Amino acid sequence: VRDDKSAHLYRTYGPVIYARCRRILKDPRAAEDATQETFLRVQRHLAKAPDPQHALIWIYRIATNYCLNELRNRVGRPLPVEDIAEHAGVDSGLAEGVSARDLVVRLLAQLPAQTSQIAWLYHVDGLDRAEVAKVLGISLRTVGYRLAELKRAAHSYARRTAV
Amino acid sequence: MTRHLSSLAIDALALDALPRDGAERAHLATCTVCKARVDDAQALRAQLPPRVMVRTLEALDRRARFAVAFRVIAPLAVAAALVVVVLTRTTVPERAPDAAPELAIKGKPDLQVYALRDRRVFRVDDGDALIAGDEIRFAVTPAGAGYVLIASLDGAGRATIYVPYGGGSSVAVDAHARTELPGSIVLDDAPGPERVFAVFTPSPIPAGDVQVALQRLAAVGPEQLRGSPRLDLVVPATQVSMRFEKAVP
Repeated sequence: VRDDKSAHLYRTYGPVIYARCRRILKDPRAAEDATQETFLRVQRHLAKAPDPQHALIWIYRIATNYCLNELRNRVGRPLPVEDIAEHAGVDSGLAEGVSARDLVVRLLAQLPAQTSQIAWLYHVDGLDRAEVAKVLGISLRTVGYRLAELKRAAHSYARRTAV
Repeated sequence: MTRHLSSLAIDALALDALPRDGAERAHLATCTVCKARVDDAQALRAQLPPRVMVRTLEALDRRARFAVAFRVIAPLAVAAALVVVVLTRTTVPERAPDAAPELAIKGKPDLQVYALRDRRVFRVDDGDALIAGDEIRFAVTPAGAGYVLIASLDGAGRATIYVPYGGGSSVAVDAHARTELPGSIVLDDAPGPERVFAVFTPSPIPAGDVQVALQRLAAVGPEQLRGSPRLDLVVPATQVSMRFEKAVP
């Protein structure tokens, strides 16, 4: 009983999702596990799979969610306060991608899951608000609200670590 | 288009999922930063080891087979059990005319465990041996209680709530029907006895109460685990448990 649909999705999107997991996790072995787990989750929810045109976004969301949870479970170093002050709430450009990534990783443990995803997609991946809303299946207003929440969390974190 | 491409756009380009004459391709033709990111992404994609593809496809295949086999075998097991019950009942002498009539046959709550090993699904009975890596699933017959919680204690004293995994209280099930519970558990390599408890209650109970009872039993030791089919719970509950022995493969 070969599950052809899951296997087809894996063959089509596996390399792209692996590359995404590598970019988020910065660890080849962890990315391998994340890729496999992503597609096992895809298979588990195959009944909800969208049409091929939207499959990438759906699998992207599953992979992102898994990887951010993995990052959240890792223990992170505190970020120097001046770095947070510099980047918090700023629309980090791609040239600042590394710093934005560090900032979001350090805030993961304090952010709700959805806010973490929005923070990553917006500040690290460089998606605009409309793209973030599309990937996560939420409204533009929610994206804006969560980004404001992120800004508050970043400033609060900066104040705490400054003490 | 002056903004750099997002990661999603770069991945969509790799899948040829963007329009040929779209702004993304026009931007890419003139932006060295994004061109470098596209090349990096391509290099990363090429680094997906073939063994990951093999093992993932096998895992997908195994899970699909397990789900189908579980759906096929479990009803067959129930049917076989019914045949045994019918045959047994036909050989029992009829009740004496002056005996008190039964008011109702409510049945007993039941816990069934199925295991997947090397693409083979089999029913686990009390005392059976399982090995690390075996994937187990549960089916319950509550016989009137609408909530169930499945918990486990192994010989090393590790207590785990299997259903709901990571949840805070027992889950609702059909009180009068056999229910296959979603999800499966992959056994770890801790050898020795492991006992799985199904706790049936008419209303949800906190998983913490069951954890406390498991810890109390764990403090006694693995030998006691073999002979303790019930947990000492503070709430009234119907319990069914099953023990298996984990061996190193």
